Amino acid sequence: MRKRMIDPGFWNDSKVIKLSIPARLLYVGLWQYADDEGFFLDDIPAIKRTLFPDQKFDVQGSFTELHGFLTEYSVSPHGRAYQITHFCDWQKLNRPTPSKIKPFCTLTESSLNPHGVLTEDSLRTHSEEKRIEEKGREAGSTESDKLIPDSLFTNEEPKSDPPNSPPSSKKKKTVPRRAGIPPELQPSVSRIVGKINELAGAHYHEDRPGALKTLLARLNGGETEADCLAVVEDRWQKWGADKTMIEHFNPTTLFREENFAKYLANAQRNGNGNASSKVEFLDNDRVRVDGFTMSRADYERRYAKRQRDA
Amino acid sequence: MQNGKETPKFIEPEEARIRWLKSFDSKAGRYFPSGFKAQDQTVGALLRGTLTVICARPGIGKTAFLFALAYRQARAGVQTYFYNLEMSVEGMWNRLACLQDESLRLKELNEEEISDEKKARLAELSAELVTFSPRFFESTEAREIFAAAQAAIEPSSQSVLFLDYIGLMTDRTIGPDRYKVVTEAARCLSELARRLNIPVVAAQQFNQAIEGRSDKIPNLSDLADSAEISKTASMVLALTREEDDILNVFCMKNRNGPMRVSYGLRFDGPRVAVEDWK
Repeated sequence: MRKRMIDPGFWNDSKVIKLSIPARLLYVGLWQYADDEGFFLDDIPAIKRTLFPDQKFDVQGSFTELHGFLTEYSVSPHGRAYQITHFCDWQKLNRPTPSKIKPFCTLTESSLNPHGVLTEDSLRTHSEEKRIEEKGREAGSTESDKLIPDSLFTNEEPKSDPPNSPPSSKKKKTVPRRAGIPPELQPSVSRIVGKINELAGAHYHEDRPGALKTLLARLNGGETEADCLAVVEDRWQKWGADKTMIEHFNPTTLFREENFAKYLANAQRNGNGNASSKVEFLDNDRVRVDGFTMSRADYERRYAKRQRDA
Repeated sequence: MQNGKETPKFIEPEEARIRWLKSFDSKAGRYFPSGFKAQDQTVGALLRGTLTVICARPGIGKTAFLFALAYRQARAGVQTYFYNLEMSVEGMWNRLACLQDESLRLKELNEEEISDEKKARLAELSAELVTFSPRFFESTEAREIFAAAQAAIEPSSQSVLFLDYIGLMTDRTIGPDRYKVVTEAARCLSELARRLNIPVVAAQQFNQAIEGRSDKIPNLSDLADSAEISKTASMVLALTREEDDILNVFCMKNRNGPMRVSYGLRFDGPRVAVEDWK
Protein backbone atom coordinates (compact mmCIF):
# COMPACT_ATOMS: atom_id res chain seq x y z
CA MET A 1 0.00 0.00 0.00
CA ARG A 2 1.30 3.41 -0.91
CA LYS A 3 0.21 7.00 -0.40
CA ARG A 4 -1.58 8.38 -3.44
CA MET A 5 -3.17 11.63 -4.51
CA ILE A 6 -6.83 11.95 -5.42
CA ASP A 7 -7.35 14.48 -8.18
CA PRO A 8 -10.35 16.74 -7.42
CA GLY A 9 -11.47 16.13 -10.99
CA PHE A 10 -11.84 12.45 -10.22
CA TRP A 11 -15.19 12.82 -8.42
CA ASN A 12 -16.79 14.67 -11.32
CA ASP A 13 -15.25 12.69 -14.13
CA SER A 14 -17.94 11.70 -16.60
CA LYS A 15 -16.88 8.05 -16.52
CA VAL A 16 -16.37 7.83 -12.78
CA ILE A 17 -19.81 9.16 -11.93
CA LYS A 18 -21.34 6.29 -13.88
CA LEU A 19 -19.78 3.86 -11.39
CA SER A 20 -21.53 2.77 -8.20
CA ILE A 21 -20.18 4.29 -4.97
CA PRO A 22 -18.51 1.01 -3.85
CA ALA A 23 -16.83 0.70 -7.26
CA ARG A 24 -15.47 4.27 -6.97
CA LEU A 25 -14.12 3.47 -3.53
CA LEU A 26 -12.53 0.29 -4.81
CA TYR A 27 -11.01 2.21 -7.72
CA VAL A 28 -9.35 4.68 -5.34
CA GLY A 29 -8.29 1.77 -3.11
CA LEU A 30 -6.70 0.04 -6.10
CA TRP A 31 -4.51 3.09 -6.73
CA GLN A 32 -3.01 2.48 -3.32
CA TYR A 33 -2.92 -1.28 -3.77
CA ALA A 34 -1.20 -1.15 -7.17
CA ASP A 35 2.52 -0.59 -7.58
CA ASP A 36 4.01 2.66 -8.87
CA GLU A 37 3.20 1.80 -12.47
CA GLY A 38 -0.36 0.81 -11.69
CA PHE A 39 0.12 -2.98 -11.86
CA PHE A 40 -1.34 -5.50 -9.44
CA LEU A 41 -1.93 -9.24 -9.46
CA ASP A 42 -5.38 -10.67 -9.91
CA ASP A 43 -5.94 -11.80 -6.33
CA ILE A 44 -9.40 -10.67 -5.22
CA PRO A 45 -9.19 -12.21 -1.69
CA ALA A 46 -5.89 -10.40 -1.09
CA ILE A 47 -7.36 -7.11 -2.34
CA LYS A 48 -10.34 -7.56 -0.03
CA ARG A 49 -8.12 -8.41 2.93
CA THR A 50 -5.99 -5.34 2.33
CA LEU A 51 -8.58 -2.73 1.45
CA PHE A 52 -11.72 -3.82 3.28
CA PRO A 53 -10.56 -6.15 6.05
CA ASP A 54 -13.59 -5.97 8.33
CA GLN A 55 -16.37 -4.99 5.98
CA LYS A 56 -18.86 -7.06 4.05
CA PHE A 57 -17.97 -5.72 0.66
CA ASP A 58 -18.63 -7.31 -2.71
CA VAL A 59 -15.17 -6.74 -4.15
CA GLN A 60 -15.78 -9.08 -7.07
CA GLY A 61 -18.95 -7.23 -8.11
CA SER A 62 -17.31 -3.80 -7.92
CA PHE A 63 -14.24 -5.17 -9.64
CA THR A 64 -16.35 -6.28 -12.59
CA GLU A 65 -17.74 -2.75 -12.83
CA LEU A 66 -14.20 -1.43 -13.16
CA HIS A 67 -13.57 -3.54 -16.24
CA GLY A 68 -13.23 -0.54 -18.51
CA PHE A 69 -10.71 1.08 -16.17
CA LEU A 70 -8.28 -1.84 -16.04
CA THR A 71 -6.09 -3.50 -18.64
CA GLU A 72 -5.75 -7.23 -18.25
CA TYR A 73 -2.47 -9.11 -18.71
CA SER A 74 -1.54 -12.72 -18.47
CA VAL A 75 1.36 -13.51 -16.18
CA SER A 76 3.27 -16.72 -16.84
CA PRO A 77 2.54 -19.49 -16.21
CA HIS A 78 -1.19 -19.30 -15.28
CA GLY A 79 -1.80 -16.05 -13.46
CA ARG A 80 -3.35 -12.77 -14.44
CA ALA A 81 -2.47 -9.19 -13.62
CA TYR A 82 -4.11 -5.83 -14.19
CA GLN A 83 -2.85 -2.40 -14.84
CA ILE A 84 -4.95 0.63 -13.92
CA THR A 85 -5.31 2.31 -17.28
CA HIS A 86 -3.97 5.85 -17.26
CA PHE A 87 -2.67 5.33 -13.74
CA CYS A 88 0.13 7.79 -14.47
CA ASP A 89 -2.36 10.46 -15.49
CA TRP A 90 -3.99 10.41 -12.07
CA GLN A 91 -0.83 9.85 -10.07
CA LYS A 92 2.22 12.04 -10.46
CA LEU A 93 5.09 10.24 -8.76
CA ASN A 94 8.47 11.79 -8.12
CA ARG A 95 10.62 8.68 -8.10
CA PRO A 96 8.43 5.73 -9.09
CA THR A 97 9.72 2.27 -8.22
CA PRO A 98 9.80 0.15 -11.40
CA SER A 99 7.04 -2.44 -11.43
CA LYS A 100 8.07 -6.00 -10.56
CA ILE A 101 4.95 -7.35 -12.27
CA LYS A 102 5.24 -5.53 -15.58
CA PRO A 103 8.19 -7.56 -16.98
CA PHE A 104 6.15 -10.77 -16.70
CA CYS A 105 3.03 -9.38 -18.33
CA THR A 106 1.83 -10.16 -21.80
CA LEU A 107 -1.33 -8.72 -23.32
CA THR A 108 -4.39 -10.89 -23.41
CA GLU A 109 -7.20 -10.60 -25.90
CA SER A 110 -9.31 -8.70 -23.40
CA SER A 111 -6.57 -6.10 -23.17
CA LEU A 112 -8.14 -4.44 -26.15
CA ASN A 113 -9.68 -1.41 -24.62
CA PRO A 114 -12.73 0.41 -25.92
CA HIS A 115 -10.52 2.88 -27.73
CA GLY A 116 -9.19 0.20 -30.05
CA VAL A 117 -5.96 -1.70 -29.94
CA LEU A 118 -3.76 -1.17 -26.90
CA THR A 119 -0.54 0.41 -28.02
CA GLU A 120 2.88 0.63 -26.44
CA ASP A 121 1.89 4.09 -25.19
CA SER A 122 -0.36 2.48 -22.64
CA LEU A 123 2.63 0.79 -21.11
CA ARG A 124 4.75 3.90 -20.85
CA THR A 125 5.65 5.08 -17.41
CA HIS A 126 5.03 8.63 -16.33
CA SER A 127 8.71 9.54 -16.74
CA GLU A 128 8.82 8.05 -20.22
CA GLU A 129 5.77 10.09 -21.18
CA LYS A 130 7.36 13.20 -19.78
CA ARG A 131 10.52 12.57 -21.78
CA ILE A 132 8.47 12.21 -24.94
CA GLU A 133 6.58 15.41 -24.08
CA GLU A 134 9.84 17.31 -23.63
CA LYS A 135 11.22 15.97 -26.88
CA GLY A 136 8.11 17.16 -28.64
CA ARG A 137 8.54 20.62 -27.17
CA GLU A 138 12.22 20.76 -28.08
CA ALA A 139 11.32 19.88 -31.64
CA GLY A 140 9.19 23.01 -31.70
CA SER A 141 5.91 21.19 -31.65
CA THR A 142 3.25 23.16 -29.80
CA GLU A 143 0.37 21.02 -30.93
CA SER A 144 -1.01 19.63 -27.72
CA ASP A 145 -2.57 16.73 -29.63
CA LYS A 146 0.90 15.28 -29.99
CA LEU A 147 1.24 15.16 -26.20
CA ILE A 148 -1.78 12.94 -25.86
CA PRO A 149 -0.91 9.25 -25.93
CA ASP A 150 -2.33 7.39 -28.89
CA SER A 151 -4.31 5.18 -26.59
CA LEU A 152 -6.56 8.13 -25.73
CA PHE A 153 -7.81 8.46 -29.28
CA THR A 154 -10.81 6.55 -30.42
CA ASN A 155 -11.13 5.36 -33.96
CA GLU A 156 -14.65 6.66 -34.42
CA GLU A 157 -15.22 9.86 -32.47
CA PRO A 158 -12.05 11.37 -31.18
CA LYS A 159 -13.74 14.20 -29.23
CA SER A 160 -16.51 12.38 -27.40
CA ASP A 161 -16.02 9.99 -24.52
CA PRO A 162 -17.01 6.46 -25.43
CA PRO A 163 -19.01 4.53 -22.84
CA ASN A 164 -17.00 2.63 -20.24
CA SER A 165 -13.82 4.32 -21.29
CA PRO A 166 -11.37 5.08 -18.51
CA PRO A 167 -11.18 8.63 -17.14
CA SER A 168 -9.15 10.70 -19.53
CA SER A 169 -7.51 13.42 -17.50
CA LYS A 170 -4.80 13.58 -20.17
CA LYS A 171 -7.21 15.68 -22.16
CA LYS A 172 -7.72 17.97 -19.17
CA LYS A 173 -4.00 18.30 -18.76
CA THR A 174 -3.59 19.65 -22.25
CA VAL A 175 -6.39 22.20 -21.96
CA PRO A 176 -4.40 24.81 -19.95
CA ARG A 177 -1.82 24.98 -22.70
CA ARG A 178 -4.46 26.26 -25.05
CA ALA A 179 -6.98 28.05 -22.92
CA GLY A 180 -5.08 29.25 -19.84
CA ILE A 181 -6.58 28.26 -16.50
CA PRO A 182 -9.33 25.61 -16.44
CA PRO A 183 -12.66 27.30 -15.61
CA GLU A 184 -13.26 25.18 -12.51
CA LEU A 185 -9.96 26.38 -11.01
CA GLN A 186 -10.36 30.03 -11.92
CA PRO A 187 -12.16 31.19 -8.74
CA SER A 188 -9.59 29.47 -6.50
CA VAL A 189 -6.65 30.76 -8.54
CA SER A 190 -8.15 34.23 -8.46
CA ARG A 191 -8.47 34.21 -4.66
CA ILE A 192 -4.99 32.79 -4.10
CA VAL A 193 -3.31 35.19 -6.52
CA GLY A 194 -5.37 38.03 -5.02
CA LYS A 195 -4.05 37.14 -1.56
CA ILE A 196 -0.44 37.13 -2.79
CA ASN A 197 -0.94 40.50 -4.48
CA GLU A 198 -2.68 41.92 -1.43
CA LEU A 199 0.06 40.86 0.99
CA ALA A 200 3.09 41.60 -1.15
CA GLY A 201 1.68 44.47 -3.19
CA ALA A 202 2.52 42.42 -6.28
CA HIS A 203 0.76 42.33 -9.63
CA TYR A 204 0.51 38.70 -10.67
CA HIS A 205 -2.09 38.24 -13.37
CA GLU A 206 -4.33 35.26 -13.16
CA ASP A 207 -4.74 35.28 -16.92
CA ARG A 208 -1.05 34.54 -17.36
CA PRO A 209 -0.78 30.90 -16.43
CA GLY A 210 2.98 30.78 -17.08
CA ALA A 211 3.80 32.26 -13.67
CA LEU A 212 1.11 30.15 -12.05
CA LYS A 213 2.26 26.81 -13.43
CA THR A 214 3.22 25.42 -10.02
CA LEU A 215 0.00 26.67 -8.43
CA LEU A 216 -2.06 24.97 -11.14
CA ALA A 217 -0.04 21.80 -10.67
CA ARG A 218 -0.82 21.80 -6.93
CA LEU A 219 -4.52 22.45 -7.46
CA ASN A 220 -4.66 19.79 -10.17
CA GLY A 221 -2.74 17.47 -7.89
CA GLY A 222 -5.43 17.59 -5.22
CA GLU A 223 -4.25 20.38 -2.92
CA THR A 224 -7.12 22.57 -1.77
CA GLU A 225 -7.52 26.32 -2.04
CA ALA A 226 -7.51 26.55 1.77
CA ASP A 227 -4.14 24.76 1.91
CA CYS A 228 -2.67 27.09 -0.70
CA LEU A 229 -3.98 30.16 1.16
CA ALA A 230 -2.58 28.82 4.42
CA VAL A 231 0.85 28.48 2.81
CA VAL A 232 0.62 32.01 1.39
CA GLU A 233 -0.31 33.49 4.79
CA ASP A 234 2.27 31.49 6.68
CA ARG A 235 5.12 32.27 4.26
CA TRP A 236 4.19 35.95 4.38
CA GLN A 237 4.49 35.90 8.16
CA LYS A 238 7.90 34.28 7.84
CA TRP A 239 9.29 36.21 4.89
CA GLY A 240 7.27 39.43 4.79
CA ALA A 241 9.73 41.37 6.90
CA ASP A 242 12.86 39.61 5.63
CA LYS A 243 14.54 41.50 2.81
CA THR A 244 16.40 38.41 1.62
CA MET A 245 13.47 36.05 1.63
CA ILE A 246 10.78 38.35 0.33
CA GLU A 247 12.00 37.88 -3.23
CA HIS A 248 10.99 34.21 -2.90
CA PHE A 249 7.42 35.20 -2.09
CA ASN A 250 6.13 34.37 -5.54
CA PRO A 251 3.77 31.68 -6.86
CA THR A 252 6.55 29.67 -8.47
CA THR A 253 8.46 29.17 -5.21
CA LEU A 254 5.45 28.97 -2.91
CA PHE A 255 3.78 26.16 -4.82
CA ARG A 256 6.81 24.29 -6.15
CA GLU A 257 6.26 20.60 -5.52
CA GLU A 258 9.39 20.06 -3.45
CA ASN A 259 8.56 23.05 -1.19
CA PHE A 260 4.83 22.86 -0.82
CA ALA A 261 4.44 19.94 1.60
CA LYS A 262 7.04 21.47 3.92
CA TYR A 263 5.42 24.90 3.80
CA LEU A 264 1.99 23.44 4.40
CA ALA A 265 3.18 21.46 7.42
CA ASN A 266 4.70 24.64 8.84
CA ALA A 267 1.51 26.58 8.20
CA GLN A 268 -0.55 23.97 10.01
CA ARG A 269 1.89 23.88 12.89
CA ASN A 270 1.68 27.66 13.17
CA GLY A 271 -2.09 27.49 13.32
CA ASN A 272 -2.74 28.80 9.83
CA GLY A 273 -5.10 27.09 7.48
CA ASN A 274 -8.25 26.82 9.54
CA ALA A 275 -10.12 29.82 8.23
CA SER A 276 -13.58 28.46 8.84
CA SER A 277 -14.75 27.84 12.39
CA LYS A 278 -15.52 24.33 13.58
CA VAL A 279 -19.00 24.40 15.09
CA GLU A 280 -20.59 21.68 17.24
CA PHE A 281 -24.08 22.03 18.65
CA LEU A 282 -24.23 20.63 22.17
CA ASP A 283 -27.04 19.85 24.62
CA ASN A 284 -28.61 22.56 26.82
CA ASP A 285 -28.48 25.22 24.12
CA ARG A 286 -24.71 25.30 24.09
CA VAL A 287 -22.48 25.55 21.04
CA ARG A 288 -18.78 24.74 20.76
CA VAL A 289 -16.91 26.92 18.26
CA ASP A 290 -13.25 26.14 17.60
CA GLY A 291 -13.08 24.35 20.94
CA PHE A 292 -14.73 27.13 22.97
CA THR A 293 -18.16 26.55 24.47
CA MET A 294 -20.74 29.33 24.49
CA SER A 295 -24.48 29.81 24.77
CA ARG A 296 -26.64 29.38 21.69
CA ALA A 297 -27.76 33.03 21.89
CA ASP A 298 -24.16 34.15 22.06
CA TYR A 299 -23.27 31.98 19.08
CA GLU A 300 -26.14 33.41 17.05
CA ARG A 301 -25.02 36.94 17.87
CA ARG A 302 -21.32 36.45 17.25
CA TYR A 303 -20.86 33.71 14.69
CA ALA A 304 -24.01 32.58 12.94
CA LYS A 305 -24.29 35.57 10.63
CA ARG A 306 -20.62 35.38 9.72
CA GLN A 307 -20.90 31.63 9.06
CA ARG A 308 -23.94 32.22 6.85
CA ASP A 309 -22.15 34.98 4.96
CA ALA A 310 -19.15 32.73 4.48
CA MET B 1 13.85 29.42 67.27
CA GLN B 2 16.75 29.67 64.86
CA ASN B 3 18.87 32.82 64.84
CA GLY B 4 16.01 34.74 66.40
CA LYS B 5 13.57 33.67 63.64
CA GLU B 6 10.69 31.30 64.12
CA THR B 7 11.01 28.00 62.20
CA PRO B 8 8.34 27.79 59.47
CA LYS B 9 5.62 25.32 60.41
CA PHE B 10 3.04 23.28 58.53
CA ILE B 11 -0.58 24.31 59.02
CA GLU B 12 -2.20 21.61 61.08
CA PRO B 13 -5.48 20.12 59.72
CA GLU B 14 -7.43 21.44 62.70
CA GLU B 15 -6.22 24.99 62.08
CA ALA B 16 -7.00 24.63 58.36
CA ARG B 17 -10.51 23.46 59.28
CA ILE B 18 -11.10 26.48 61.50
CA ARG B 19 -9.80 28.85 58.85
CA TRP B 20 -12.00 27.24 56.24
CA LEU B 21 -15.16 27.51 58.34
CA LYS B 22 -14.25 31.05 59.31
CA SER B 23 -14.07 32.04 55.67
CA PHE B 24 -17.83 31.37 55.37
CA ASP B 25 -18.59 33.57 58.37
CA SER B 26 -16.53 36.45 57.08
CA LYS B 27 -18.55 39.61 56.65
CA ALA B 28 -16.46 40.50 53.63
CA GLY B 29 -17.72 38.77 50.48
CA ARG B 30 -15.92 35.62 49.43
CA TYR B 31 -16.19 36.53 45.79
CA PHE B 32 -16.76 39.60 43.62
CA PRO B 33 -19.31 39.37 40.79
CA SER B 34 -17.67 40.91 37.76
CA GLY B 35 -20.72 43.02 36.97
CA PHE B 36 -21.05 41.37 33.56
CA LYS B 37 -23.84 38.84 33.61
CA ALA B 38 -22.29 36.93 30.72
CA GLN B 39 -18.96 36.62 32.54
CA ASP B 40 -20.42 35.59 35.88
CA GLN B 41 -22.54 32.92 34.21
CA THR B 42 -19.77 31.61 31.98
CA VAL B 43 -16.48 31.75 33.87
CA GLY B 44 -17.58 32.85 37.33
CA ALA B 45 -16.88 35.80 39.60
CA LEU B 46 -13.51 37.26 40.61
CA LEU B 47 -12.18 35.27 43.55
CA ARG B 48 -10.07 36.38 46.49
CA GLY B 49 -6.36 35.70 46.27
CA THR B 50 -6.38 35.18 42.50
CA LEU B 51 -4.68 36.94 39.61
CA THR B 52 -6.80 37.37 36.50
CA VAL B 53 -5.04 38.39 33.30
CA ILE B 54 -6.90 40.11 30.46
CA CYS B 55 -4.97 39.90 27.22
CA ALA B 56 -5.48 41.20 23.70
CA ARG B 57 -3.72 42.81 20.77
CA PRO B 58 -3.42 46.62 20.88
CA GLY B 59 -6.58 48.56 20.15
CA ILE B 60 -8.96 45.69 20.85
CA GLY B 61 -10.33 47.04 24.13
CA LYS B 62 -8.18 45.82 27.03
CA THR B 63 -8.30 49.13 28.87
CA ALA B 64 -11.98 49.57 28.09
CA PHE B 65 -12.79 46.10 29.42
CA LEU B 66 -10.56 46.46 32.48
CA PHE B 67 -11.97 49.88 33.28
CA ALA B 68 -15.53 48.67 32.79
CA LEU B 69 -14.80 45.90 35.31
CA ALA B 70 -13.33 48.44 37.74
CA TYR B 71 -16.32 50.77 37.27
CA ARG B 72 -18.75 47.94 38.01
CA GLN B 73 -16.81 46.99 41.15
CA ALA B 74 -16.83 50.62 42.30
CA ARG B 75 -20.55 50.89 41.67
CA ALA B 76 -21.06 47.75 43.74
CA GLY B 77 -19.35 49.46 46.69
CA VAL B 78 -16.00 47.70 46.37
CA GLN B 79 -12.79 49.70 47.03
CA THR B 80 -11.15 49.82 43.62
CA TYR B 81 -7.47 50.54 42.98
CA PHE B 82 -6.40 51.17 39.41
CA TYR B 83 -2.79 51.30 38.22
CA ASN B 84 -2.98 53.11 34.90
CA LEU B 85 0.50 52.87 33.49
CA GLU B 86 -0.65 53.83 30.03
CA MET B 87 -3.09 56.70 30.43
CA SER B 88 -3.42 59.87 32.49
CA VAL B 89 -5.99 60.24 35.27
CA GLU B 90 -7.81 62.87 33.17
CA GLY B 91 -8.07 60.40 30.30
CA MET B 92 -9.43 57.73 32.62
CA TRP B 93 -12.00 60.18 33.97
CA ASN B 94 -13.13 60.92 30.42
CA ARG B 95 -13.84 57.22 30.07
CA LEU B 96 -15.49 57.11 33.47
CA ALA B 97 -17.80 59.97 32.45
CA CYS B 98 -18.74 58.12 29.25
CA LEU B 99 -19.51 54.98 31.22
CA GLN B 100 -21.72 56.90 33.62
CA ASP B 101 -23.48 59.15 31.11
CA GLU B 102 -24.60 57.39 27.95
CA SER B 103 -25.09 60.67 26.09
CA LEU B 104 -21.37 61.52 26.25
CA ARG B 105 -18.88 60.61 23.53
CA LEU B 106 -15.17 60.21 24.19
CA LYS B 107 -14.22 62.24 21.11
CA GLU B 108 -16.34 65.12 22.34
CA LEU B 109 -14.57 65.16 25.73
CA ASN B 110 -11.13 64.75 24.20
CA GLU B 111 -11.25 67.10 21.25
CA GLU B 112 -14.23 69.42 21.19
CA GLU B 113 -14.59 72.83 22.78
CA ILE B 114 -16.53 72.50 26.03
CA SER B 115 -19.06 75.27 26.56
CA ASP B 116 -19.66 76.83 29.99
CA GLU B 117 -23.01 75.13 30.15
CA LYS B 118 -21.38 71.80 29.42
CA LYS B 119 -18.70 72.50 32.01
CA ALA B 120 -21.39 73.03 34.63
CA ARG B 121 -23.00 69.74 33.61
CA LEU B 122 -19.63 67.95 33.85
CA ALA B 123 -19.02 69.47 37.28
CA GLU B 124 -22.35 68.05 38.38
CA LEU B 125 -21.46 64.70 36.87
CA SER B 126 -18.08 64.70 38.59
CA ALA B 127 -19.80 64.91 41.97
CA GLU B 128 -21.55 61.64 41.13
CA LEU B 129 -18.44 60.12 39.63
CA VAL B 130 -16.25 60.77 42.62
CA THR B 131 -18.08 58.04 44.50
CA PHE B 132 -17.52 55.52 41.67
CA SER B 133 -14.01 56.48 40.69
CA PRO B 134 -11.23 54.01 41.42
CA ARG B 135 -8.13 55.24 43.20
CA PHE B 136 -5.53 55.78 40.48
CA PHE B 137 -1.80 55.26 40.68
CA GLU B 138 0.41 56.46 37.85
CA SER B 139 3.94 55.24 38.55
CA THR B 140 5.27 52.38 36.44
CA GLU B 141 7.91 51.27 38.92
CA ALA B 142 7.07 47.77 40.17
CA ARG B 143 8.39 48.27 43.67
CA GLU B 144 6.38 51.47 44.16
CA ILE B 145 3.28 49.73 42.83
CA PHE B 146 3.59 46.87 45.30
CA ALA B 147 4.54 49.13 48.19
CA ALA B 148 1.55 51.41 47.52
CA ALA B 149 -0.81 48.45 47.35
CA GLN B 150 0.45 46.94 50.58
CA ALA B 151 0.22 50.29 52.34
CA ALA B 152 -3.24 51.22 51.07
CA ILE B 153 -5.13 47.94 50.99
CA GLU B 154 -6.15 46.14 54.11
CA PRO B 155 -5.79 42.37 53.75
CA SER B 156 -9.06 40.50 53.12
CA SER B 157 -10.90 43.80 52.66
CA GLN B 158 -13.59 44.47 50.07
CA SER B 159 -11.05 45.62 47.53
CA VAL B 160 -10.06 44.80 43.97
CA LEU B 161 -6.81 45.88 42.33
CA PHE B 162 -6.50 46.54 38.60
CA LEU B 163 -3.32 47.06 36.58
CA ASP B 164 -3.10 48.25 32.97
CA TYR B 165 -0.76 46.70 31.81
CA ILE B 166 2.00 44.34 33.01
CA GLY B 167 4.26 44.95 30.02
CA LEU B 168 4.64 48.61 30.97
CA MET B 169 6.00 47.91 34.43
CA THR B 170 9.61 48.81 35.08
CA ASP B 171 12.02 47.62 37.73
CA ARG B 172 15.12 49.66 38.53
CA THR B 173 16.79 46.70 40.20
CA ILE B 174 16.41 44.47 37.13
CA GLY B 175 17.03 46.98 34.36
CA PRO B 176 15.88 46.86 30.75
CA ASP B 177 15.45 43.07 30.42
CA ARG B 178 11.73 42.88 29.57
CA TYR B 179 11.51 39.15 30.12
CA LYS B 180 12.91 39.36 33.65
CA VAL B 181 10.85 42.43 34.58
CA VAL B 182 7.59 40.91 33.38
CA THR B 183 8.33 37.49 34.87
CA GLU B 184 9.06 39.06 38.24
CA ALA B 185 6.04 41.36 37.98
CA ALA B 186 3.70 38.44 37.22
CA ARG B 187 5.00 36.53 40.24
CA CYS B 188 4.71 39.57 42.49
CA LEU B 189 1.15 40.34 41.36
CA SER B 190 0.12 36.77 42.09
CA GLU B 191 1.83 36.94 45.48
CA LEU B 192 0.18 40.31 46.17
CA ALA B 193 -3.26 38.85 45.46
CA ARG B 194 -2.56 35.96 47.81
CA ARG B 195 -1.07 38.10 50.57
CA LEU B 196 -3.82 40.75 50.49
CA ASN B 197 -6.47 38.10 49.83
CA ILE B 198 -8.17 40.20 47.17
CA PRO B 199 -8.68 39.72 43.43
CA VAL B 200 -6.02 41.30 41.22
CA VAL B 201 -6.89 41.91 37.58
CA ALA B 202 -4.11 42.85 35.19
CA ALA B 203 -3.94 43.42 31.47
CA GLN B 204 -1.21 42.22 29.15
CA GLN B 205 -0.52 42.41 25.43
CA PHE B 206 -0.59 39.56 22.97
CA ASN B 207 2.38 39.16 20.66
CA GLN B 208 1.98 39.37 16.88
CA ALA B 209 1.50 35.64 16.26
CA ILE B 210 -2.27 35.86 16.42
CA GLU B 211 -2.38 38.48 13.66
CA GLY B 212 -1.11 36.04 11.09
CA ARG B 213 -3.52 33.28 11.94
CA SER B 214 -6.63 33.09 9.84
CA ASP B 215 -8.85 31.78 12.65
CA LYS B 216 -7.79 34.53 15.14
CA ILE B 217 -8.35 32.13 18.01
CA PRO B 218 -5.89 33.08 20.76
CA ASN B 219 -3.52 30.68 22.54
CA LEU B 220 -1.82 31.04 25.90
CA SER B 221 1.47 31.06 24.02
CA ASP B 222 0.42 34.34 22.37
CA LEU B 223 1.02 36.25 25.63
CA ALA B 224 3.83 38.72 25.09
CA ASP B 225 7.07 39.04 27.06
CA SER B 226 6.92 36.07 29.41
CA ALA B 227 5.19 32.71 29.73
CA GLU B 228 5.29 33.22 33.50
CA ILE B 229 2.11 35.33 33.23
CA SER B 230 0.02 32.39 32.06
CA LYS B 231 1.61 30.13 34.67
CA THR B 232 0.96 32.37 37.66
CA ALA B 233 -2.48 33.67 36.64
CA SER B 234 -5.53 31.85 37.97
CA MET B 235 -7.61 33.00 35.05
CA VAL B 236 -6.59 34.20 31.60
CA LEU B 237 -9.21 35.93 29.47
CA ALA B 238 -8.36 36.76 25.87
CA LEU B 239 -10.19 39.48 23.98
CA THR B 240 -10.69 39.69 20.22
CA ARG B 241 -12.89 41.99 18.20
CA GLU B 242 -13.72 40.93 14.64
CA GLU B 243 -16.92 42.96 14.43
CA ASP B 244 -16.81 46.57 15.59
CA ASP B 245 -19.49 46.18 18.22
CA ILE B 246 -18.72 42.69 19.55
CA LEU B 247 -15.99 41.98 22.04
CA ASN B 248 -15.24 38.23 22.08
CA VAL B 249 -13.94 36.98 25.40
CA PHE B 250 -12.21 33.58 25.47
CA CYS B 251 -11.36 31.92 28.77
CA MET B 252 -7.97 30.36 28.11
CA LYS B 253 -7.26 29.28 31.66
CA ASN B 254 -9.40 29.04 34.76
CA ARG B 255 -8.01 27.38 37.85
CA ASN B 256 -11.31 27.56 39.71
CA GLY B 257 -13.93 27.02 37.05
CA PRO B 258 -14.68 26.10 33.48
CA MET B 259 -12.11 26.93 30.84
CA ARG B 260 -12.24 26.89 27.02
CA VAL B 261 -15.52 28.78 27.28
CA SER B 262 -16.36 32.01 25.55
CA TYR B 263 -18.85 34.84 25.75
CA GLY B 264 -19.54 38.03 23.89
CA LEU B 265 -19.98 41.57 25.19
CA ARG B 266 -21.22 44.68 23.46
CA PHE B 267 -18.52 47.18 22.57
CA ASP B 268 -19.75 50.74 22.23
CA GLY B 269 -17.06 52.38 20.10
CA PRO B 270 -17.94 56.08 20.50
CA ARG B 271 -18.12 55.76 24.31
CA VAL B 272 -15.33 53.15 24.47
CA ALA B 273 -17.60 51.27 26.83
CA VAL B 274 -18.08 47.53 27.28
CA GLU B 275 -21.48 46.31 28.32
CA ASP B 276 -23.64 43.21 28.56
CA TRP B 277 -26.03 42.58 25.70
CA LYS B 278 -29.50 43.73 26.64
